Amino acid sequence: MSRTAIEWAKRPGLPASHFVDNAIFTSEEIFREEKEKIFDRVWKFVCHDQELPEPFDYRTTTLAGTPLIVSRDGEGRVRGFVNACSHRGSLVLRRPRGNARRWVCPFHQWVYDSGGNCVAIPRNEAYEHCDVATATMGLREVRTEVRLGLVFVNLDDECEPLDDFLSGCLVSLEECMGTRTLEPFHFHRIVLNTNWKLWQLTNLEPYHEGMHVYNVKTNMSQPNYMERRIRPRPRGHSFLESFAPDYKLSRAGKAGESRTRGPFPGLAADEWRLVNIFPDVMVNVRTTVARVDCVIPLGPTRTVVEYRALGIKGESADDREMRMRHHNEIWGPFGRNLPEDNVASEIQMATMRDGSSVFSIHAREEDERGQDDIPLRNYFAEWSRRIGRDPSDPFAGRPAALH
Amino acid sequence: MAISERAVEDLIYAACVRMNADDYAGWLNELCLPAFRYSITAHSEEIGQRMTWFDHEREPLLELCLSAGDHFTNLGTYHRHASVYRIEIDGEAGEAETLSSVIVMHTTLEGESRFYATGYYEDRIDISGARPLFRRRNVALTTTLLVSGSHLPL
Repeated sequence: MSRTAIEWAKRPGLPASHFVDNAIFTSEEIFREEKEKIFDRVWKFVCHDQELPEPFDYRTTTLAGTPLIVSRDGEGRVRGFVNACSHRGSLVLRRPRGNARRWVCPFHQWVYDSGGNCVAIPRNEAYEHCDVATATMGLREVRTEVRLGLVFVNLDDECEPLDDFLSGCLVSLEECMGTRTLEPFHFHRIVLNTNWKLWQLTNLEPYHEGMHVYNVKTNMSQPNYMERRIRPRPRGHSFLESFAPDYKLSRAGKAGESRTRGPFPGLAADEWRLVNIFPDVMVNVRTTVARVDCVIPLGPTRTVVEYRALGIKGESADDREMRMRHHNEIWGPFGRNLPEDNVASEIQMATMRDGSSVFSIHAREEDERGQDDIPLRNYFAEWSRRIGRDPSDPFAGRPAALH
Repeated sequence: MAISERAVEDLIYAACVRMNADDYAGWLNELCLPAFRYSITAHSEEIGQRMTWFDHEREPLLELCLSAGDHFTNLGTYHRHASVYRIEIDGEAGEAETLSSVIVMHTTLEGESRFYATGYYEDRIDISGARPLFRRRNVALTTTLLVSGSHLPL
């Protein structure tokens, strides 16, 4: 039976953990709080360490509006800095990547080394009357750690240790991503008219696979498909237990290519592992290739998603070509699956933007099988802990005018 | 009779017309050799590498184009605006190498057009027969921040 406007807007008769108010995806107020209480305090993946393999290599990026430099210093340590000159706030480095022992701010030529130390200020005698000197004018450093080649930074100097935050969620990837050195061979970005969380929620729940023609053939056809498990972890993380699609079924009437050659260490032919890291990272390893997603939120309804693919450093040209082929078959901007996920996250926002849809339901309970909504509930439990709001009633007790 | 530069240029524009009309089968079957190969590449400033994003021979590409409607995809059409910048004829090899600038726009079913990507068509065109036919096309994209993916060739 269809519903009236009042019935449509009525809170679902579900536990509060089993649905969210869609205003959390559109509210400017909540978006500002997410920047302050999540992105300014959480360990956030920003790049792969092989994007800066040599001493003095650097990468620039942004973390929810904060411009960053990630560099490898002369001792080989990966370090992170806010990309803002101590003088008058100009970006110090403007290119996405490079190699330089000295970083010269283009505006007034203050100079920094790869450790963030200010090493020269032009005509510095003019500052002798005050405390402005190279010794006090270094860049702002941010906490930076590397796990399995993934570079994480944290803008909060008082943050918890990275391993406490990860809470063991990378265990299932340690052998396949930590035995040999991986490196990115693919990078692209998509700007989506959607909320950043909606992208991550798509990565969190695998039961939208019915949308993907490719996955219907290769995954849902498998007899153990409904038995695969998705496990919540502390801090909002989760992982999908090992599963093996039948890639031979990927092409109508013709055999697709099984992934038997050159698997990542510890993986069987066709084996697939997937880990989601709160708040925005997915590491998706399909036997021969790993995909890593992360987001750069631009506003409540606009999001950049960065996509990387990793291969094995130093491998043969044939093996690299094979990994690219496997990647491009379903991922990348012209793969069969990824463009579909992009569209899905935008058509949700199309109804949420003006409040036409009020609630999203996360109420499937299937004993942590792959169609259970438990990773979404687990995710929002962490979101709620950090934001201090109930996602099913995010404005409870707050003045209406504020939202 | 030798195939003229004009005929080569006309082939590139004819391909745009076919693809803009969603006639991918017509493009592949009538304007391309059976051994035709098509790829999309781009350079990433972020990782400092030339990337291959799509690479298919004619038969699997045709299969993908014909099954695009089965996919949950961006509704609408793509419009390719090409300008041929350079044609180099190698009569002995029976081939022309061309470079064309291309701008691709996407138009939704509601009629809104928005910029999709810019890049170059790098074509190798067989001119050994009665009419020119595509032997190889690489779309070298300069745009790497896209508004969506696509199930269709550009």
